[in-house]
Amino acid sequence: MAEAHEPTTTLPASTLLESKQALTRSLDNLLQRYLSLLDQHQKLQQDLNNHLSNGYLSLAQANFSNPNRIRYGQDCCDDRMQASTIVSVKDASPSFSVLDSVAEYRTLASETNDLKFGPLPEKHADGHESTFEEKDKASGTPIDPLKWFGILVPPALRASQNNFKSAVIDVVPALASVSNEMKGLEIEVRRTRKRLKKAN
Amino acid sequence: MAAPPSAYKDRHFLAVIGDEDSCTGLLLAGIGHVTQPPDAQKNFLVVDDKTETSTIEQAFDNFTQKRKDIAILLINQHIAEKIRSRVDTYTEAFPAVLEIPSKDHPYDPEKDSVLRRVRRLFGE
Repeated sequence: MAEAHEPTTTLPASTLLESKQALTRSLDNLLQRYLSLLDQHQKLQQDLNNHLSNGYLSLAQANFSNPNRIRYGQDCCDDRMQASTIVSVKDASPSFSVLDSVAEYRTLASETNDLKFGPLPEKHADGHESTFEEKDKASGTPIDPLKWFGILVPPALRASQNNFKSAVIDVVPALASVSNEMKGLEIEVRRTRKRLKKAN
Repeated sequence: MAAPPSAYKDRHFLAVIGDEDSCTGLLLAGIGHVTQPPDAQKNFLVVDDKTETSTIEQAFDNFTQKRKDIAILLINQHIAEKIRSRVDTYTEAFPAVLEIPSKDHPYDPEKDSVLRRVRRLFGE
């Protein structure tokens, strides 16, 4: 901006023009990226809708077919539940990823027979890790939430769990990452627009 | 991502504010977590017709501001509508807030806070 106020030479005018062009170019690039993220967001939201609507449908089928006429809901849930689906956040793109520790545990246990498996390989947050170690010690494996509802659960409830799981593991972290990246880009777009306004 | 690592390094859980079926499904997916007593806190709130808006607001503030272990907050879109001003003015990166459809209320992009932000950005 300092160069812009020197009126005598022709160089500042050309630099100003160049900086304006550079700003316009960078604004274009930012908006292009933003629109592609928006497209991705819409597709992911559609995926999420599909997974969840299948999940709701299966849950309704499970409730309908339940011979005891008990609704599968929070009344049957364990009040000491511990999360088996864990989010890991990192400073990169995509920033969120979700890990199913029950499935991970099974795979790893079958490969190594090591019961001291921690569910977060890259991030070992103190409090969290100890919770899982305690649980692993107590039961040997993270508890599958399906077991709250008994041993012989209807296949529809299992299907519902699979639908919700795939929504949470595959779509939700991607959607959260895209949404956060869009937030960051919005700030950058506003900043660039302001600078461009000043340059004009 | 401009946020410092301290803003997200302890965030490992998903939270949900939703109707009974949404909460049941997401709990089945394994997101449910109750912290250790004496201060046992759930990471989900089941909302029905009798739930006061103030309770929803309180839960939203709790998950987004007070608790530092929530990475993603999922909220049914029809419930987000009840506390729309709070959801729209929420600008933090962590936890990320996502609006999800419920069984009785399909997702409406017009209402989503992300799409509202997009409109604001291009409407300026």
